[in-house]
Amino acid sequence: MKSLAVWTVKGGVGKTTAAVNLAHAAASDGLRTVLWDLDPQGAASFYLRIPPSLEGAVDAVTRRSVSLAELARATEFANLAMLPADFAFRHLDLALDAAGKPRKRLAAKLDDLATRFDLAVLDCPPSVSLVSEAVVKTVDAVLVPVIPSTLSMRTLHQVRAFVAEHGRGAEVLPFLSMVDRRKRMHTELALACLADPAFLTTAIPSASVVEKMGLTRAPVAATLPSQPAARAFTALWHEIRARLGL
Amino acid sequence: MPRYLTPPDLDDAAAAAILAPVGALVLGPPEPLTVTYLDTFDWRLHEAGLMLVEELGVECRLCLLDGSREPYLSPAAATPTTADSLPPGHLAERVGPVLGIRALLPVGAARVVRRDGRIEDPRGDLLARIRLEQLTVVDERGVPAGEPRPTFWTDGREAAAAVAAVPGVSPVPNHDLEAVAATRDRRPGDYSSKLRIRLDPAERADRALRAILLELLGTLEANVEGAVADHDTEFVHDLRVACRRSRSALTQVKGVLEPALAGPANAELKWLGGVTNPLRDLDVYLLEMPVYRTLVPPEAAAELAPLEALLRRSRRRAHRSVVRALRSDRFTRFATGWRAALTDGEPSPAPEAARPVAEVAGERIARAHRRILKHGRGLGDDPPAEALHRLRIDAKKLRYLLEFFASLYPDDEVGARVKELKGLQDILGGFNDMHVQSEHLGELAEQLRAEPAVGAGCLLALGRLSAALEARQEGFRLAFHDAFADFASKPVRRAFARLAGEREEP
Repeated sequence: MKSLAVWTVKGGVGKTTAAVNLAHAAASDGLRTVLWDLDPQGAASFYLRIPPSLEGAVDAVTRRSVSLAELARATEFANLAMLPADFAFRHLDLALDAAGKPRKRLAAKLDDLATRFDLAVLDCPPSVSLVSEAVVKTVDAVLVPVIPSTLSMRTLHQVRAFVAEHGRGAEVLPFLSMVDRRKRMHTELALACLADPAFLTTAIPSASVVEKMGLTRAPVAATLPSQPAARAFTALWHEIRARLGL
Repeated sequence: MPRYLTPPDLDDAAAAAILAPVGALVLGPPEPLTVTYLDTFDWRLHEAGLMLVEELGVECRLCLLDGSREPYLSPAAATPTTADSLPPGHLAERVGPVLGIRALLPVGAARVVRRDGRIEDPRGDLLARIRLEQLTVVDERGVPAGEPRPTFWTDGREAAAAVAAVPGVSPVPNHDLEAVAATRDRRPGDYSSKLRIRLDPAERADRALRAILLELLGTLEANVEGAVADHDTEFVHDLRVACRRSRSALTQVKGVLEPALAGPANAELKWLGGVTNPLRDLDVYLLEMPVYRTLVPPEAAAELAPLEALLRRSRRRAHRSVVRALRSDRFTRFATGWRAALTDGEPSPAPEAARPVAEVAGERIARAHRRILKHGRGLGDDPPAEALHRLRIDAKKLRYLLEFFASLYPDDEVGARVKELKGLQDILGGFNDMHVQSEHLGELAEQLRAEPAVGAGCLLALGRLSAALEARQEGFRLAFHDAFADFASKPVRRAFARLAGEREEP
């Protein structure tokens, strides 16, 4: 099983929509995929209509005796299961700290998920915390959404520095998110980003269909597969798949 | 969660009303599909608890049901026919090893109009998944073979209970394998290359032998169509095994059927075996090609390409000969006449015919066992290939007898004896394969030498391969003594004597 964290320290950059749409694209591509919503806001769970009622959600992360794979819920989409968020995740840092050895605990949880899944996509909270530290130490790759703006690009530098310091070989895969081609600055900065060979070449456009996910509560490819945004997520997934060697 | 057969007049509004106490029903658009169930001729997926269904709509996808909570779905560029053509990933890992060298074939099909949906709570959260289908089983030509059947599936307990309580609703299995296979006169598990006959120890030996031969004729005939169509190499293999088993039954259990019946049948079975020999040999070489490549250095492996090409050309010719034989009047006459003779209820006048089969079986097993011990013990330190070949045939005859009469003995007894014998057979078979293959390789090298496009590199690679096969043959020869000593050991001799009903071991 490969594990992929979607993470950045800046909010509102399309992190959760990327996690949901990429997990759906991977599942449609034939990978048994689990989307793990670690963000206490539970937006990914909301998008897939899975109520955040994972009983003992924190225990499931911190205790070895609880099987995470068994708690995964089926979604409406083939090959895609979900571990929904819980509001209690806001205390996950404290719980992980109290339990000790957070990286080992998380690695054991991913090993457990590997018994049922080919890919785990972790939607992480947009913060620097013990949880994010454990995640970057454990996963195979960290996917970083970057809006072509100076602030968002500055954030990428921070993420890279954090992963360089704490990561254990996780690949950082930045990609352009919410790109508005009508904005000159977006176009110019996007071109500058793509000069960086680490960047994935597919850019996710700023699109109303993505914003409407809050209403449709489904990945864009499930409701409007021919829309450019849906096609972009599929193309981005294929790039990630190749980079992960899947 | 079970699936239910619902009344034909259950429309969206009626379904929504039934499910209203649980939550709001939201249905997606209808999706027309052709679903085709795939399995090997010998039902390997079914036997392994797997089910593979191709769903062809706007896209083509493969659905795998393996008894776990969720079906697995994979996009597919084309219908897979072999393990190699399965989409990589979970499907190839799960299904590939089960298929082995057997081909995937359609075992039945249906046309489906599917609507997926959900039941949601007032907040729009998912309560249960729903699937409504109109399923029409179709025959091989795609013509409907029955009325459309409306079905309802859900993974929600409350939703299932609400639907189950509706008058006229009845639970049905979660798949339609039996229904679709029936249109092709197939039943899951209806074919196995293993003999599955059950005999009564007290029945007349001629009746029992006829039943065994009839079963073998059934296996032989069942493989004709697949051997002609050349779906995979196992059809011809199984057909040949049925042929050899039949001959063994006729020659090893003499004095039970009248010679006027057994003699001509044996001659025809010998002809059929001979006519399929070249094809089977070539199949074995081609199946062994991946191993051959590992037996020579990597640079020489690439030089084996002309050998493979020659084998494939020869195989095409050999297959055409087999097709001619299987479509010949001679074969039809034999199969029809043999079946009629075996089903003829007249008791055989042969001297052993009226004896109880258990008695005859014990004698024949004991005799075949003694023959192996006698021939094996006579071999010196460096047994010649011909002697090992004879011993291999002796061992095979005993194996067939054990298989014919297995139902007369306790399962674990026969199983244990077969295992002991198999240890010896593996060594003898391995020795013979290497011997035959390295000798035949010399003939093939001669043929290749005559081809202008074949360079010295290929001939050199063949030389290396031949040397490697001879080295392996020598390895089997060295292992023979230990394998025979195990088989001829006192406990094994005693066990065989016990099985055959003898007082003392040979």
